[in-house]
Amino acid sequence: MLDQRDTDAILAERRAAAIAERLLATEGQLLDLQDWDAWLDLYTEDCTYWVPVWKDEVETVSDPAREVSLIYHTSRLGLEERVFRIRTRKSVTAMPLPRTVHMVSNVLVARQGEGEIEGTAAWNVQHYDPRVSKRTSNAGHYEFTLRRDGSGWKIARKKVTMLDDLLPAVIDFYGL
Amino acid sequence: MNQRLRGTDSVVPLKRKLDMVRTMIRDEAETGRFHVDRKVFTDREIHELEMRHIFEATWNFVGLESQIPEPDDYVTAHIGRQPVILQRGTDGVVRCFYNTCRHRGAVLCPYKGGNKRVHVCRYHAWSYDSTGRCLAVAQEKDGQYPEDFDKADYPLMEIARMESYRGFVFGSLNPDVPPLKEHLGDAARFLDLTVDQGPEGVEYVPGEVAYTYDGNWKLQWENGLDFYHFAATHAAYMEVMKHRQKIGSMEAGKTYEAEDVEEGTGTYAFDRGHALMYAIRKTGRVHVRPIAKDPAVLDEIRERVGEDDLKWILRQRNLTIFPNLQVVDISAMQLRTWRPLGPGKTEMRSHCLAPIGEGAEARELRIRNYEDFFNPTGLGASDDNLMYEYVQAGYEAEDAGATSGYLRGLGSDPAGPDPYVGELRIDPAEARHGPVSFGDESCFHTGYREWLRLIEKGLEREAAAMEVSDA
Ligand code: FES
Ligand SMILES: [Fe+2]
Repeated sequence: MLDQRDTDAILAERRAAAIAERLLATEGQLLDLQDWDAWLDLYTEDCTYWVPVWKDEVETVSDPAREVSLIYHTSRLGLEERVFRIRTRKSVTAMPLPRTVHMVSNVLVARQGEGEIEGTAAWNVQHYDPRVSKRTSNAGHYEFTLRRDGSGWKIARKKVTMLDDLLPAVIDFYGL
Repeated sequence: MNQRLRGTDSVVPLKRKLDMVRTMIRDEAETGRFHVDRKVFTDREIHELEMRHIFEATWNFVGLESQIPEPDDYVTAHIGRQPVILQRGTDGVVRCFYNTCRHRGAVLCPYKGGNKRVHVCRYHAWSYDSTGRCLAVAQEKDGQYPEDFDKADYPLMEIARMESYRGFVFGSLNPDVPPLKEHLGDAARFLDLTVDQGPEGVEYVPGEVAYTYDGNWKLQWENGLDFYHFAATHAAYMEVMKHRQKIGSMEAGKTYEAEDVEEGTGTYAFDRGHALMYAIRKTGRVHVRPIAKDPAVLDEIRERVGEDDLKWILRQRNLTIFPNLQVVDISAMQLRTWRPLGPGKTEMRSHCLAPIGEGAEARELRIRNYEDFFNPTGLGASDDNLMYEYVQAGYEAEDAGATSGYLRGLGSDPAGPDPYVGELRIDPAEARHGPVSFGDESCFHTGYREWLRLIEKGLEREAAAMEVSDA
């Protein structure tokens, strides 16, 4: 028989997974729609956004203070600057922007506590570049920490590990 | 037949190729003309000539000694198309081997790097020690080898030449090259200004970034010396910088120049294709330099190398060592090296370079500055990479005729003779300077002269060998 404690735990876990799935899917959709303001609004102001480099065949870097990352922002400002740069209409990387389809799956909650959910997911981004009429794809894993923010939830930490270590000429937030 | 004279060309096509490449570089710098044919960037045959007679025939940068500090450490790399292992032996000596088994050719070492006292081939288990000696031929006794077979005759093959200049290791697959020091000439002074930033030299910050772009390798090479593109190509980056200052999210930039120094940019061209572009800035794009974080660090450098060298260490310097190395020193130090994968595809390897033993705060600033601008994820270099692709695509318009991208700097210099060669203790083949907006392009010429010289030399050598063997 399941006692109340078990069912509470199950429900809490289901609830956390549903929140994470919804938030990550929403993020992907907003990136695909190029609704940058709404996308930025999914992140806490003090968020960490980290894309590590593969150090060798099996390990990525683990210490951004002493090792190189592809992207390492410790506040939303870093993401806002990337959006700002695209909006200047002066970066050839965004003229034109590629079209994307974000797919997030295998969302697993590893830990949940008071107002916080941690977990992992797998991602795949289909990426079509009208500049060269070419479709490519990126894929990898996410590690995330979500935090309750008022009545809603936001992304407080996201680590994006790319599958590849031989990269294309341009990679930015909308393709991750 | 000499190992360098492979291929199946007969004399006639070799002479045709010679005529072809000679028409592709129109070098009339004295009369204010210098043209490079579009085909130099797009043609498959030219690419083959470059691989054989440039990348596989002259000194190439391979790696840093500090990548392999301990006995038996190794890293793998390519010289031209050919895989190599840069290996420190158990005896402490650094050697460069072809990364191929002497038995039936399998790549011996499929990893990026590591530490191995013995390499065992995965195919039939021949083994080699880290000095290259063949240790064992598996089941040798039962193998019914010919009488005179001796495994001692099958060590790993060392490349023809390998030398290090202050920890920068270069290799040549061709024995017919001058000593490295002679090859580098005074361009070596700018490697000094890199190495001298720490009492124990420099190292890679862990985390190599590798990427490709769909364009010719020479577009990266030119761009690394091209101050002219900055304002246009990096307009969005400059906007970000302004924005950061406006909202106060970035420490204000800082000039390290004395009051009476004039702003400006300039270039030095050296023989054998090397060149340097520098900028002296007091306003505009100035940065807080990681090595200047701690005054004690600057004092230590000053004491060791003198005021003049320190002054130049704090200036922006973009160094190109022909054909495959660039060291850029501005808000961070980047070392990049490349290998052509075809006329329209280039593989890049990018590293954050740092003084060994650097303090934690300076190191972190350096890494963040490096990530901010460089690599496909950087706010600057990603724009460069796409511009290479646009240029490559545009060069397909062969019938549009010659371009005019090599002319800036060919007029008379109103600023007079270069004021800095004395304090830099260099004697460059050419020196040009001007205002920040000068954007010299004549510093590319030395590379194209070396390009032509090497291909001509290679083709002539092949033709001569053909004639001998035909006779
Ligand atoms: S190919 Fe290496 S042992 Fe046979
Ligand atoms: Fe650039």
